[in-house]
Order: sequence, then structure tokens, then C-alpha cells
Amino acid sequence: MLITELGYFALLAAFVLAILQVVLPTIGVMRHQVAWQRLAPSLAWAQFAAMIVSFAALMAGFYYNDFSLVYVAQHSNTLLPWYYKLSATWGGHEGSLLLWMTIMATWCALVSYFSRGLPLSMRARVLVILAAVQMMMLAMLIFTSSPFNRTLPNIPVDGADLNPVLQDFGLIIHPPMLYMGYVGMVVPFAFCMAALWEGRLDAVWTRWSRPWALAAWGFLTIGIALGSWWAYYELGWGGWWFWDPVENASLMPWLAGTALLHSLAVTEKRGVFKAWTIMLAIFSFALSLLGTFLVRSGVITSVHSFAADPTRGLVILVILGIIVGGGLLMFAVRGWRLTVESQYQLISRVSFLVINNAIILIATLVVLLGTLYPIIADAFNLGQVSVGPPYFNALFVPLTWLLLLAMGMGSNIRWKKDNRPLLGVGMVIAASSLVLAAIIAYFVHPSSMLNIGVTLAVSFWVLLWMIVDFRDKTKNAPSMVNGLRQLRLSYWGQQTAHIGVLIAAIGVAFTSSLSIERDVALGPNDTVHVQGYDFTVKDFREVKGSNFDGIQAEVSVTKDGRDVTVLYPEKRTYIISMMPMTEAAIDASLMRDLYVALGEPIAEGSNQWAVRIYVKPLIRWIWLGSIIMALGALISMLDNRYRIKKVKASHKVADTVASTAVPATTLGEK
Amino acid sequence: MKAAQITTAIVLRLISLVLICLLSMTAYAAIDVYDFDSVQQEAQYRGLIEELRCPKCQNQNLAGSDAPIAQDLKQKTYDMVKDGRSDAEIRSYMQERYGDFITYKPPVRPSTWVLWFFPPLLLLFLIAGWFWQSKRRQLVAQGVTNKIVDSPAAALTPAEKAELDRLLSRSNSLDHDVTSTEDKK
Amino acid sequence: MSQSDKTPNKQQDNVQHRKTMNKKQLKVWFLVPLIVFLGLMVMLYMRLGKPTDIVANMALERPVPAFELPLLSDTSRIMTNDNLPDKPFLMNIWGSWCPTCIIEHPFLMELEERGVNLVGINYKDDIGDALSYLNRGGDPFSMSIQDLSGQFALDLGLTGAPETFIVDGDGIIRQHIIGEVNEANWQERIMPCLMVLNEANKNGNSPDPSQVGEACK
Repeated sequence: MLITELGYFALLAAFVLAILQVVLPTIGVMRHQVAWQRLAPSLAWAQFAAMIVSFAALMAGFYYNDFSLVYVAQHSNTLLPWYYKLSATWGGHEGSLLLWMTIMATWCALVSYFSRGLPLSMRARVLVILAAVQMMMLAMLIFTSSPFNRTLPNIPVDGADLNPVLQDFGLIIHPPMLYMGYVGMVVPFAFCMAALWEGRLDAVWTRWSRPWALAAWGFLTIGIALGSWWAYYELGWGGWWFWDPVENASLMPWLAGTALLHSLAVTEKRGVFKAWTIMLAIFSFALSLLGTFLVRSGVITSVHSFAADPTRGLVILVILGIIVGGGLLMFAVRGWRLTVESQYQLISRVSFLVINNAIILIATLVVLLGTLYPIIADAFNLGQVSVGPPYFNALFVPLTWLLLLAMGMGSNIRWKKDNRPLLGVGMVIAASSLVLAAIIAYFVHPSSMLNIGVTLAVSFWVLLWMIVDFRDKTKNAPSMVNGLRQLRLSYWGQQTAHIGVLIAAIGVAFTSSLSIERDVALGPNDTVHVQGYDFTVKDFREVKGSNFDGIQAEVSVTKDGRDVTVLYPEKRTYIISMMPMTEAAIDASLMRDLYVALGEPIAEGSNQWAVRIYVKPLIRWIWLGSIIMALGALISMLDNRYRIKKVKASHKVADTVASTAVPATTLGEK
Repeated sequence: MKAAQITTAIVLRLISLVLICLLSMTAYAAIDVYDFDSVQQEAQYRGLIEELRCPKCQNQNLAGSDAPIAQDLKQKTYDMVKDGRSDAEIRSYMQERYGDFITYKPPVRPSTWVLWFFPPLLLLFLIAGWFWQSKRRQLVAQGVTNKIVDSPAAALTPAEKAELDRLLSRSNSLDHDVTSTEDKK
Repeated sequence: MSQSDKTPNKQQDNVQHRKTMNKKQLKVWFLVPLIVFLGLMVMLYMRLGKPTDIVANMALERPVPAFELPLLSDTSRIMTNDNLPDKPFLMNIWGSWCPTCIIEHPFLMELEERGVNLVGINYKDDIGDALSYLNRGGDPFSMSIQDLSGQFALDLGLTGAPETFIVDGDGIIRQHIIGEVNEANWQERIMPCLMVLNEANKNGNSPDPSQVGEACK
């Protein structure tokens, strides 16, 4: 097909453009030639156009069943429904890399557009660094993992079909969202590197990079939440997070990104911790690339990993080494100049944010250590052990509690010195939280109150501090409405995101401690009673899809005689791959999920089937909380102090030594 | 030409089988129907099959796997739980036959100390270090203030001092969460 | 570059002085992330290409687990560890349902002709199917034991079929082959090991541990 050939050429064009985008503006920067620096944005847009063409071409290849492409032949089939054909574009290694690069080109174009207010030399440098990353990854894509390889001269009659587990709505949204987040982490990285390159000692670039960090983090939050939700209803054993290496690969940049966001806040407001912020920006992107490496190189065992290929792994490793090594080298050579003797009070938001970052970094370390442990054990001959949920939960959960504890007070006290009667307020809040939590935990789960009790206690602690702080901020206003309007969007964003964290934490605690599972044998008209609900199998019937056959059960659910819902779980066999799949039926609601999955008939020819039933309280809170977190990031991003208007050079102030009495906001940046 | 096409189709089908084995995601977790004597027993069983690893799978626990060996191990776990064995007994039974990797909870022994103890210790070290640093800085800051006062240059005129006081007090009360008039410029 | 370095102010001088004193320390600290990262790169590089499958080898250097199982050809007779051969032998776990066992079978017949002693463990199989399997392809085993429940296989740390264990004259398991036995691993792994074990058995000694370590990898 000609379109797909066009896609390949567009990819090559993008590669050439990336090289140009690296070389030309660099010369422009080094020789102070404005015209050459001005090329950077245009090249970024051109690259974006080329990548869109390339990606669209691959999608067209899937849509029009172009089996002359090896990649299409491996992951598609004429019987596949059209929406899965399109999303199969990112169902395998090569195509998902193409998605990666397309999303990267999109971010670059967006940076190019929104950075028009930046000084040109800085803008050019940022785009150069972005292009450098693109150049290396496009080289890898074109030379080792091209999705445009042909099967000629033999064109297969039909393709091998998409893996049935991937034939699901989750595939359509989870990878794009996740990659938006992964790739987005390159933007704060590029800003930091550009600042180091230019030799800036001020902290203005932190304000420029903060909305980008928020956006990337927001997408990553949604991407991870989607992945968890998808695994929950797809895999059939009720789990929503397994601490699998590939899952961890996405969690680590998220954790580092969270630390980065908080560090950016400090650097922006107080001008301190610049070096830490740069370190975290490098760290977040490094973990993003490391994740890509782990998933595609075959060095760790995972259900999610793409087919392992050590050659590809080597290429990604080299790229990782160059990008992150280069960044850390730059950091080592120039970063130390940014350190400044910072002074801040013990009881201030700054010090709480230091603690916050310490805890988050240790949490990241826990995940990193656990994920890489098989490799470490192999390198130092420490014997084969498996590191899984028991380890991660044992260390990560207490860290989360500590974090929430710090978050309560830390996000609601003054930046510099807080003169309010904190000790008294604190003790009242602590006491009330403990009492409320203990009461609820006792009613809900008297046999094992620890998990729920502690989570509720720290959640109430945070909530009560938020209320105290809110009242404090609005008490001087003439009216409530006025008081609310006075509060900045970044404040609303912060509180929203923190509430999202609380909701997710409570969801996790409740569902881990209170979920009920039953595996029973049910035939027509059999009933089983689980947690107050009655599940009755009404009937079994055959179903047919475009590429599968199966059996569907009708299960009616009642509670105290009243109808709750009717569920239709299915057991399918996909025709091409002959793979059996169970499609669970879920009745989702805010307070609990009812989940029914079909297994196999009990015996050959029996009319009784093995049926799995779950009642999972508050599980939706986990993903709801995540969405609220991302919403918080969005709200923060919209704060107008991040809008950069073109300013004259004379207005820019470099705040050098700390203890700058006047914050940058008031000195002409707007 | 047709024979070649058919061969290619067969080859691709084999490739897909291989790929499926490599991708090896659970199509479904086999559902076994077991009878338990009590809720605690059932909870013990479920806890164990989530902790024990399937020896033949790409990183799955027994609960989430449908491999034949996972079925056998689940059956064995069920038998032992019904028999009244404790978690520790069942775990050591499995470890004796399959090694340490059969459980997802790494044993706590010198070779895994770095795994279990390094993060918490590092956290304590960081927080203690930061605490000590801020105390030290506060002492140093008091020292620096003295130096500034003694310096011959940079003595402030009363007008300058008033201006400094005004700026300092404004910054102290400036709360970045509340929009101020300056921000609206 | 920034202009801030050039401000001639006594206060700044003091600050600079303090900073300069720690400059060396500072530079060292800033190199730490790079060094840690390079270490990580080296570790990951060395791991590339290595198989990540878990190998269960708990049975090695231990006696064959105790069992009391019926003979396949005559299930009224119960076999125990005492019925196992006194000389080194191969213990092969097989089932008629296992496709790789079918592939492996002709080579086992060849091994029997070469004089290798093979004991078969029929794993979770229907006895009718098992016997017809042996009738069809031939019986390379000096005896076959029926492990219907799979308990014996579990005690051996089995993860699937076919798997083969090499047992020495004293009943200690010395090598564990996961997957089929074929010409390639016969030449590379099994034959050298058997030779060492046979040598030791002939002399009536226990095999020398270092020799075993060398030959039975």
C-alpha cells in the first residue's frame, strides 16, 4: 500500500528534521545568531507534522488490512473490529514506540507554541534538547524497531490477530494517556538542562517549567489509574495492583514527578533548592526512560513485557546512558553553582516540603530496589528471591501514612515563619482524628482495625488541617464569596489534588481489608449468598462475536428480596488464536463493586459452572481519587501566574543569594 | 503462489503462538471451587495463594495463574490448610521443594538486609541529617547577622531602613495562596 | 553567564568565602548521582541477554524423596526408594498428554540402546493412556512408577513435564534437566555427569564433590 510507504518516508523526514533541530539552533546559540535560533520552533512544528503523517499512515495500514507490513500481520486480522484495528497500532513494540515518538513530537510542538514569551536563547536551547532526545529515539525506531518493515515478497492472506486480552476498551485509552505522561517528563528535564546550559543562576525557569510538569504528572496519574482499572476487570482475580515490574516502571516516574512538583513549588516561591529541583527533573525523566528499558529489554520477568529482545535492550540502554548520563554530567559540572545557603524556619512549609520530598524519594527507592532486586541479586550472587506485593506493601504503606501526616500540617502552614498557635490546634486535630477514625474502624471491621483505622486517622488529620487553614485564609474577607474568589487557582488545585490522595488512600485501605471473594459451583437456579447479596444464576446461553464464540450466564443479584441488578458474565474462545478468555460482569457503584466471573464447567458436560464472586467495598474510590488528583493538577496549571507574557530584558531579575525578602511575583515578571 | 501464501499464513500463526506464549498474559485465572471449614480458613488459603508464586509463569501468583503446576500447588495448599497447618509451615514446605523464590515475600536474612532495611534506615538518616543541618544553619545565621552589623560598609540610612522594614513586613504577610494587588498587575 | 558573581560586597564576600571552602565538597556531592547511575548502567548491561526464567534446583545434592507408589505395569506392586537401581540412572518424568515428551521419546529409546538405565515416573496420567503410549512408542524404562496425584513430582520441585533427574549410585540427585533430553544436552551435560558418577560407583566410592560440580552443571 502506498500510504504506509509514505508513512515510512515521513518517519525518515522527522529524523532528518530532528537532526537539523539539534544542530542549527545550537550553532545559532553559540554564535549568537538570532535567525538560526529562530529556526527551532519551525523545525519543531515540521517534525510534528511529519510524525502525525507517519502515525496516521500506520493506522491506515491497520484499517485497510495491509498485511504486507510485518507489524500489521502480527497484530491484526480481517475479523478484528475496526476500533481494535486502530488501537492495535500500539499493541506491539514497534507501534507503541511510534506512538511514543508521535506524542513526543506533540509535546515539542506544544512547548514551541507556549514558550513564545520566553527569551529566544532559552527557548532555542529547550527545543534543542528536546530534539536531541527525539533524534536518538527516532534513530532507534528507524534502525532497530521499524513498524514499516515489509513481509514481501510473500504477503500473508490474513493476520495473526491481536492478543485477546488486548481486545478491550482499555487498550484504546490506557497506552496513549500513559505515554503522554511518560513522555511529558522530558519537558521539565529540557527546561532544567537548558537553564544549566545557559548558565542561569536564577529560579525563573522553574515557573516556566511548572505547568509542564503538572501536565505530564496529570496524564501519568490518569494513565496509571486506567491501567489499574483495566487490569482489575480484565484479569479476573480481583486485583488492581500487583507491583509487577512494568507497573512499577510507571509508578516510579510518577513518584519522582510528585517530588518534582513539590520541589518546584519551593524553588519558585523561595528561590532555594534549585539544585534539588534539577536533580528531580533529571530523575523523573531518567525513571521514565528506565521504565521503557525494563519493559522492552527482557531483563526482568513480567506478564506485561513486550517480547524480549536483548539487541533492542542494548540500544535503549545506550540512549538512556547518553541522555541521563549527559544530564547528570551537566548537573555535576554546573549544578553546584546553584547551591545557596538557604535559611528557613523549622516550622514552615519549606521544611515540611523537605520532609515530603525525603519520604517520596525513599518510596521511589523502595519501588526501584524491589523491582531491580533480581538484577542486583544476580550481579552480586545473592541467590534467587522473588520480590512482590508482601515486600512492597510492607514498606510502601507506612511511608504513605507518614506522607499524609506531613501533608496535613505541611500544606497548610506558612511558607516562612508561622506564628499561629499551631501546637494547640495540632493537638485538637490529632485527638479528633484518632477518635473519629477509631469509631468508624470499629464499626466497619472490628477484627482488624489497623489498616483502616490508621488510614482514616491520617485522612481526617489532613482534612481538618485543610478546614482550619481555609477558615484562616477567608476570615478577613468581607464575605464568603469574596473570600473564595480571593484564593488562587493554584491553591484550589493543591487542595483538590490532596483530597484526591485522601480518597484514593481510603479506597485502598477499605478494599484491601474488606473485600470478599467466593468461588462456588452454580447451575441454573442455584443461589449463593455473599455479604448480604444473593447471586442467582438464571440461565446459560451461547454468544457469538465477530471473532469469538462463547457462553454467557445470566446472574440476577438481589438484596433482601429487592432487585439490585442483572449481570452477564461470559466465557469466550477467540477463533483465530483459540485462546479462552473470561469477560467478567461488574456492577459498579461508589460504595461497592459486585463482580462475577465464569470459570469452567465443574465436570465434562455438567450444567454446573465454577463461578467467582467478589464484593469489593469502596474500590471505585481508588480511581476516583486518581482522577481528582489529575483534576487538581489541571486546576493548578490554569493559574494565570504561569502565563508568560513577553517582557523587556530590563524587568528580569536574577535572584542570587537566598533570603531575598521580596518574592519574584511582584517584580515585573508579569 | 497460493502455496506460498498458505505457508506464510501457517508460519505467521506459529509466530503468533510463540508471541502469545512470550506475552503470556493470563487469559483467565482458573476458578477452583473449594469447601472450607471456616471463614478464617478461607482467608488463610486466599492469603497464601496470593503470596505464593507460580514457578512456571512470567511473574504471577498462584491466584492469578492457570498453569497446571499452579493448579497443583493450589490443591496442595488447600489440602494443607484443610489439614490445619500454619502459614509458616506451608511456606517452608513450598520453599523446601521450590526454593526461596516461591514466595513473594523475600526472607529476611543477611543477603536481603539491603532490601528490607536500607530504605527505612536511609529515611531516618536523611531526616536526622536535615534536622541537624537546620539547627547548624540557625546557629550560623545568627553568626552572619552579627558580621553584617559589624561591617563598615553598607550601614543603612534611616530612610533605607524604613524602606527595608516595609518590604520585609509585606513579604512576611504575603501569602502566595491569596491573590494580592501586585499579582493583578 | 550571570552577573551576580562580580558584585563587590563584603557580605557577599563572606558568603563566597564560605561557599569556596565547601566548593570541593560540593563538587564531590554533585558527582555522586552520576557515579551511582553509571554503576546501575553497568549492572543492567551485564544482565542483558541472560535468561530470566526461574530455575528450581532444590532437589540437587539431596536424596531422592521418599515415595511409595505403584508400578505402572502392575499396579498391585508398590515400589519404594529401595527398588531404585544401585547404579547411576536417569529418572525421567513423563506423561502421554505432554507433547514435548512425545518428541523426546525416540531419543530415550536410543539412550536405552546405548545402555543407559532409565526409570520413568508417569506423572498425572490415565493408566490406559500411559500403557498405550508405551506400547506405541516402545518402553525405554527399566521400570515406570505411577505418580497419579503428582505428590512425588511436587517433592522433587517439578514445574512441568518432561524433566529428567540424574541420580547417582547412592541415591543422591546430581543433575536436573528441565525440558526434553536430546542429543545436544546429552553430549554437553548428561554424559559427562554420568561418566563421573559411573566411575565413582565402580570404585565403590561416593563421587568427589569437585568433580561432580565440574561435570554435572
